[in-house]
Amino acid sequence: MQRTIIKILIAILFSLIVLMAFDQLLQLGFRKSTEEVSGKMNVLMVDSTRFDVLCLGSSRALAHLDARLITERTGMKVYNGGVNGARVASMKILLKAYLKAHPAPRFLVLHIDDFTLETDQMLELPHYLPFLSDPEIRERVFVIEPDLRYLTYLPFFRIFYYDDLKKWIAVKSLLGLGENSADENAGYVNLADSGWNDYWESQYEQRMKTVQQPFDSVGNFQDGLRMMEEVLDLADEKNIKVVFTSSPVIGGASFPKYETCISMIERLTADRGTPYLFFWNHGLELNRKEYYYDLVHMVRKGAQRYSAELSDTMCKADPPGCQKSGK
Amino acid sequence: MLFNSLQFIIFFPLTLLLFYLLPVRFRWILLLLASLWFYMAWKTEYIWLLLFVCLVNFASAISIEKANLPKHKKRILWLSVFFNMGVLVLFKYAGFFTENINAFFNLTGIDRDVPLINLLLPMGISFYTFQIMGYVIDVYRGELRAERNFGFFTLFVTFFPQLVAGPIERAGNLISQLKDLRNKVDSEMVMSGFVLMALGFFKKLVVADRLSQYVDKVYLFPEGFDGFNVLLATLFFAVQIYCDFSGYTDIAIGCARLLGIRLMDNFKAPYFSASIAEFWSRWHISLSTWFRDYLYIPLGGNRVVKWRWYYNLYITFMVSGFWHGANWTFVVWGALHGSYLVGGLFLNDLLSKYQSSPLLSWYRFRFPKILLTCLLVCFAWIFFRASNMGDAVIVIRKILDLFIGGSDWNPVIKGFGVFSLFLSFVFVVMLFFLESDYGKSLFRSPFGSLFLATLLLVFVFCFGVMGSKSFIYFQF
Repeated sequence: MQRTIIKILIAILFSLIVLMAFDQLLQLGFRKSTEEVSGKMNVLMVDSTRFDVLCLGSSRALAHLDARLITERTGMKVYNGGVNGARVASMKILLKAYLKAHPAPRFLVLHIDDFTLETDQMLELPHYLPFLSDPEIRERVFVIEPDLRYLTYLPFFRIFYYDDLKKWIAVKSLLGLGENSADENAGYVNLADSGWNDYWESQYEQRMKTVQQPFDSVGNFQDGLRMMEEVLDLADEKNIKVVFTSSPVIGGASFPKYETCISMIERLTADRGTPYLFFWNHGLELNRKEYYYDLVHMVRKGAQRYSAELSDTMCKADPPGCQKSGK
Repeated sequence: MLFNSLQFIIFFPLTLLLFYLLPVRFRWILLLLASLWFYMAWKTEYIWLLLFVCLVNFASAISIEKANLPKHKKRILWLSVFFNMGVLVLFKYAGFFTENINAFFNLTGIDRDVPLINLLLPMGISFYTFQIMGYVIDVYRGELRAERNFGFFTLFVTFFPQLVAGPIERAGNLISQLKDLRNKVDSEMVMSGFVLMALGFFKKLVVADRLSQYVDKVYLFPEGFDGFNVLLATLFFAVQIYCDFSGYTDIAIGCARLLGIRLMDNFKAPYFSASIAEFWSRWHISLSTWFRDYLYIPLGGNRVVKWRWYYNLYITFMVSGFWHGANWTFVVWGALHGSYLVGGLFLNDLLSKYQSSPLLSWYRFRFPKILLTCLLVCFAWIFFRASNMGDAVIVIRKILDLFIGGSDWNPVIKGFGVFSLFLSFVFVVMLFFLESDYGKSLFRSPFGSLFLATLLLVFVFCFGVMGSKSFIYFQF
């Protein structure tokens, strides 16, 4: 009986050792990765390349800010640091980590969504896990996912947060496989030329029918607004020009939550004199389905129109910065 | 509390340790407290409902035993059955009934609206209600003496490994074991318990939860996917539901074995069945035998005229379908299985007359029959998985379109790439190997079982889909 229990304990111990080895292997893979979000995290936090423009925001920043097009129009080297679901907390920790590794950029483009000022979530948390040695990231991650505190005692615990794709990316980079397109190397994800289908049509109709409850939680955004001010202070300290931008959401711009968030940012930008490209105010006619991949993401031609408008806004904000703008 | 949660990883070893440290006479109290804690980890308030149901049935069984006249016994039995079914209907079916009554009013132009009742379904209510009803009926039949200790009775109902998703244990098997918790555990029992737990976690976390990522995406909006994706999602669901439910059962049986208790088997490689009747003797055995003993046989079973026999079978499967969920899709699922069985009986009669025909030579081999049974079962799973009848029809249409022509045969969908498909394929093949006779023979040798359990654990740790996804059968 005792021997059986010892055998079982050895089996458990052995599998934990394999797990730890696998975890270390994955970490190595993530550090070497140039692909997908892992690659982006390496560019933002480890790499030291100088960029003139750094864009931060969610998947909408990722898909709408065509870094190569902005480079073409402004002559500045642009990196799109958009990460799915990124909110203000992610913007803050990414910017801080970026500034530790890189020279300060000339421009910081902050893409705003209706959820940007929320502070209780951090989508795609696993992407931050290989960088827990950074105290800022570690602290934020632990606030969002308290279970991750077990990492202090069980370093392999983070492996449970990696999905198949993430593991595959690590394995691929260890094997030296995987290539990026030129767009991806600039951090931008091009969402093809069309994507709108019956599913999105039905979702759109449903959204337009939904009665929108008045959004009465300006108070909930106060923490987010405070964090946003910290981001702006950091930018001021490093003499970085900030441009706020908010790309279109089909049929969603009049939603109370969106309006609340936008009006708070507008007030902040007005107080600080920060340029702000908000698509409703700029007369872009992008509120049409032909420009959309799904409810909130635009296809390439929408992204290109939007990025062109953004380039012009940046050039107006800092004319010497635009060497080849043609304006 | 979910087996695949961090809470359970702390809860179970702690319970196990305390169980063996405590003197034998106190062990049942520890198990009772642990079981109540286990249930309360889900929703504290519903423990009162569970205890109330236990109390009513505990008293009913004693009253039945004490009653002198058979008609009194019968009356108390019916009261108990009505009470149990009443609780089940209130929590599980009230929303369904009120919804359908309103739909009927709308259809017939009656200007009335019944207020919708939508209560939160207490976890495991269908399982513990049937377990309790089985106990009361056994006492009524004189097959079992009524339990006089409320603590033991409550432990029988709430025993944590099988509380929320079975196996639906018989009182005759479980109560006697719970009353005698001396050290009956031997090396074989400990090792088999450990191996079963490892296998259960592998089935749930590595196979079921991985496949569910594909299935959930496709079945959420089948219209948006190609026929091949829909077909693959349906086949994946057949594997997912098996791994999810039998995985739960393996963990439950494994936990119980480590505590020295043997629970009944619930699955015996059901997809290797050569007929629907065989399938039901290998799938969710504790429920099938429950329906056989407490519904099918009381209805007359097969000792009646032929049409009545078919009727009994059909009714049993319709009720079984409805037991699974308050939705027409489950009723259709049950009806389909009933039809398969009755159709199979007709077909057997017919085929026996033409046994010598060369056209029917395939029928003598087992493999084509296994394949046919699998196809029929998978077809029925479409109704089980679809959110509503409309979606089920779309799924069937998409699959038919695939064979009629013009569909992309690309298995990859957004969020489930080639690597996930590759892993799914490898793990499903591995599972089929483990469930085969050869795989089972490996589990029987001490070294083989330890080696396989270690391998399974490594896969669970390295490739398990974590995130505490609930077991499918918890909703029933």
